[in-house]
Amino acid sequence: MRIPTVIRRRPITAGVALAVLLTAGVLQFVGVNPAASQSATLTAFESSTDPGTDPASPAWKKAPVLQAPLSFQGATYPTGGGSIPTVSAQALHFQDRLYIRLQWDDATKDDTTTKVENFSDAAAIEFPAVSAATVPSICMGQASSGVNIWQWRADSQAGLKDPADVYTNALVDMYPSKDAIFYTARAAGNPYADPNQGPTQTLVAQAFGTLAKANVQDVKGDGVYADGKWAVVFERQLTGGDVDQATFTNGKSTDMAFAVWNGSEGDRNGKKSVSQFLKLSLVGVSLTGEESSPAGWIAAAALLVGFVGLGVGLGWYGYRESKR
Amino acid sequence: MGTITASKRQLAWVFDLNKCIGCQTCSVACKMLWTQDEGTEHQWWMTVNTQPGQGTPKGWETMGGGYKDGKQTPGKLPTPEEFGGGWDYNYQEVLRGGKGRDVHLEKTAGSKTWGMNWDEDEGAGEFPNSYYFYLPRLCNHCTQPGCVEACPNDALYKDPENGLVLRNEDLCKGAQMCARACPYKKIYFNPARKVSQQCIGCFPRIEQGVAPACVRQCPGRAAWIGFLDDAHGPVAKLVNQWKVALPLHPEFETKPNVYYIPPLSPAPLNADGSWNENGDRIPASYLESLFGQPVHGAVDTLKTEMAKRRSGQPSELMDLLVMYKWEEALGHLRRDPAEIVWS
Repeated sequence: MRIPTVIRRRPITAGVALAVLLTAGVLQFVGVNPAASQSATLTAFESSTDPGTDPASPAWKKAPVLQAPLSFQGATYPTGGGSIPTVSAQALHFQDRLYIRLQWDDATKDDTTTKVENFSDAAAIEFPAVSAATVPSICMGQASSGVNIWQWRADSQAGLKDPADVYTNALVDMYPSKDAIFYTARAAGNPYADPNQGPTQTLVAQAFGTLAKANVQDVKGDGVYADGKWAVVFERQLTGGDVDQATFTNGKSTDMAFAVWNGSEGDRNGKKSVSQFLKLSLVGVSLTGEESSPAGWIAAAALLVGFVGLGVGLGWYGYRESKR
Repeated sequence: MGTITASKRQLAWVFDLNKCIGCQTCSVACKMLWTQDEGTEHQWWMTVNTQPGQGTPKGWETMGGGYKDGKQTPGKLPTPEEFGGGWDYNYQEVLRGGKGRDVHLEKTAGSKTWGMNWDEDEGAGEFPNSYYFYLPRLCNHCTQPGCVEACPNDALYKDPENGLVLRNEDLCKGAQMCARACPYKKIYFNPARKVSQQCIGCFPRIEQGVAPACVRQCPGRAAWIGFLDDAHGPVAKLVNQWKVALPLHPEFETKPNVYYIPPLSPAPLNADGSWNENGDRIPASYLESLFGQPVHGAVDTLKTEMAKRRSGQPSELMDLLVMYKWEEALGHLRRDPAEIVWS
């Protein structure tokens, strides 16, 4: 009796599907995307150790990397940027805190803004505010859907340089008004003007030109420049300080965009290299930082089995088809 | 991009360049009041420079900014080197180092090669017809301020009550777009506060009925302050009625609100030592390059009124310019700052 074709093929089809599912599942589990350059999702795994704000922390070794292409900012005045073509992003979460590490190539370390023509290297991450009614415009959000921006600045990290380095012989016998109120920008609460602010600012915006200091300044960060690269880590608790800020939930994803400023190119304000909206996905799966962890070996073995199974299945399928 | 919101009234300054003696009292009064703090050492919101000259910052008139046919034109950022600064001498070596017989006083390394009043009294012209005059400058508190429109953070605005151009220092992020846009290059960067700053028109004094320091302290009675729409005030009379007070570089199209009485000058000497009674030592073309075409009418009016007064006839314009009563310069802002208890 001749067996109907559809029944004869079924075990092979099922085997191929199983191999595909197995491979996909393992890839998802380890956060490796075979089409990484096409991916728009950065997966934040749980870290087994506290990554801290040191970009050289070993916790980052295993964290998947998303290469985000950057481009010229041409949507609003002042336009510019584009000199930094790509930024490498990684994300981890540890206990109740989220860590995002950015790294990009920059031939010059620009961290001094004493002269009027000096501009600082900087980087920023944008998220929708938890109160956003819809996905906000990537361009600073809109009235009903604000954005939360975390900015790190190289000059703020370097601290105030002595103006006398530039304005030599500007001899001063005494400053008559050392009270805080006389430091007008500081007294007005400008985070950039405050030497105690640290390298990062927590900002909120609801449209172009509305960027302002968030009520709660809770983003920490640190940047290191070495070998022609900046590496910067942002750290914040998963829950935002108020409704204008972003909140991150395990098992959920959120939109995210990057911006990088290259000071030596005159980048400042809107003159910056920007990404599109990407996804940041928080998963409750632990990612160990060890090079030879059992989980890593199991994942690798499963991947091998999956790929071999897929190859064999497809080969067998092709062979059978050619015989028909 | 910032939005310019027109103010209800506009304060304006008038400086009489025939009376300014270049004493820098206005500059120092302003410096003492506003720019003595950390990060403001290099800032001179009020400056007096000799014209013709390169001024402060060096060569500011050619740095661009302002508008051209109504469209904003980005200028260049004036550098600290162009603003210049102080210098020092090798006093230690000469006076206390025992080398006084061999080493002469000279500027130390790192000394600036330009400064706020570097080309003082150099002027132009060939002896015996060399000439110069002084030009006091501050923020022009323009009616069409390029800085306000250029600010990407909307940090600058025109005060709705008096038209002063002021800055929200909590919003400024040091993008320097204002410094680029200002064609008068009167905006400074404060490296200790990371924000740009400029003349604030002494607005805390104005709110208390006190005239700005530059006007109140002028010993030459060469400065006036007042509302442009106050028809009885000297400012409005000089600007609108007599049309002898003119804005500097109107071609920058920012509609500045600091006005100048153009300088008259003596007749030049001919080669044989006789007077050329038909000429002016300061070329009319140079004045036109500063104040535009209307300067010729203004100079004619000044000469006419001066001749009237010399022939014994009354002249309201000359009385105004003489400023018999010093308080007239202060308009409605006559309160003595010493009587105010600042809290």
